[in-house]
Amino acid sequence: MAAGKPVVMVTLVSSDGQSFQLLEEAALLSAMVRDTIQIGQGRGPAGIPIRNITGQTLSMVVVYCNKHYTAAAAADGDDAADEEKKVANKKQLREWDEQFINLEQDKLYDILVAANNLGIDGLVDLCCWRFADMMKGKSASEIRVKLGIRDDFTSEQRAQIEKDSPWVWSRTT
Amino acid sequence: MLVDGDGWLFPSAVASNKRPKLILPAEDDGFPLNDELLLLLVFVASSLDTDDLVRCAATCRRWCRLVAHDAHYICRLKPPSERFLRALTVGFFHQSHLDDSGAAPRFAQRPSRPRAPPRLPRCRPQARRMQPCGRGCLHPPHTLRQGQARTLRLRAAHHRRPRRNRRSAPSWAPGSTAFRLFLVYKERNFTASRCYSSNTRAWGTEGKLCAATKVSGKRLGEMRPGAWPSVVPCSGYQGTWCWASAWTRWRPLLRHSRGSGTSCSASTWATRWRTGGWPSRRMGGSARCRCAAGEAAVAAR
Repeated sequence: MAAGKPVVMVTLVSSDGQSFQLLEEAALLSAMVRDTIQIGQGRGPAGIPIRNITGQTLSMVVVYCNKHYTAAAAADGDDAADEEKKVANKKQLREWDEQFINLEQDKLYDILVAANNLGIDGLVDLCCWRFADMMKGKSASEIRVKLGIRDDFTSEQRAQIEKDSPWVWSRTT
Repeated sequence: MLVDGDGWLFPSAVASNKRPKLILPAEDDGFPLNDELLLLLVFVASSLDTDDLVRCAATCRRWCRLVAHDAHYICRLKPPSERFLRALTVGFFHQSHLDDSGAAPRFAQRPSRPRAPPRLPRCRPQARRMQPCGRGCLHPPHTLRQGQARTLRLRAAHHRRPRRNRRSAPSWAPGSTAFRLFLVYKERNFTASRCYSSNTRAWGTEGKLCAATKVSGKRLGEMRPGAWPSVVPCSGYQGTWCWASAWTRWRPLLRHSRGSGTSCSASTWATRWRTGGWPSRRMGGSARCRCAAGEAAVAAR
């Protein structure tokens, strides 16, 4: 944050009425918030209503935005910092991301939907990475168990899969 | 790896929400993400490779439908799959960008067995690229317009020598630059075929298969190639993929040849079609095929 620049806060209001205040720069990570502010709305006391996103989910999104804004601001402030420090900071942020997104599946779904609705690309990518991590290299049955997917194939379809592609039941070697 | 048919991933075999062919109970996979998010964010945007996607398709009906119907879209940016691409490809078209002669692209055949590497002409590494389309002469016939061909199958010869006279029958030699391509495709009311010869650098006339040999799109999908099928994209047909295969049954008609070789007219092919019958094993233009085709298209760029 540049020195002397007034601190502008933005209020996000979840679908269940909870309010979250964060720096406008942090909120601008969201394309939806950016668009709202660009058309001159959202800076009032009423805040920006976020539909279909509960307070619990929105609180996590706010944490993500604050963290990434802080990291980006720190990186901008240290222009003269050496490359090693930048790489270390990036690695540290990545580790924080991985820890942040290591959630139960229900929360992960909610955050993915919220990130998609709010247009936070970094968070969408993070959720996709987490989903891919849960599925990558796993057999079809393991994916089912991991993601809680119900097998609704008919017996004929199941037999066809068994016959045509038996390798889907084994992991990547 | 010998790749078997993935008929269960063939789009027509997967019940569609728009035009359900099978009366099935509603999809109920218990997964909270809707189709759009699942397709765009999880399947497309994630780092899942083609093998993972097929495994995902085997988990439940909804995932199977999404993968099968949007395989081309999903796989366009995916890294090539060893399982699908290497095992399936019988060859590829090659043309050096240094070659200004306007000659037809060479067909570099992958060996029918993976132990022998394909023979490529000497050229700079960056010039070794697949070129099924572009400024090569291999454009499809103009009578085929996009969207007109419902089903398109591209079949190439199986280049193994006859079993009996393997020593004395030099019908094909690796490195031969001549090739013939045989297209079988569905028009609105009939099944048609055309042949391209690298010798004449031209497509032959379109042959209409007579009523006795009318073949449905499903039947086209069931055309079972030999042990080493391959998928290559067909130039000029967005959304339509060719199915190239090595099929010993058609060796007399669809062989690589030096010199003039044999002619391959639609009428003779129709006769073969009538009398030859079809192999029983199913080999559909499945999502796997489409995946591989997508990969081939990516590799070609």
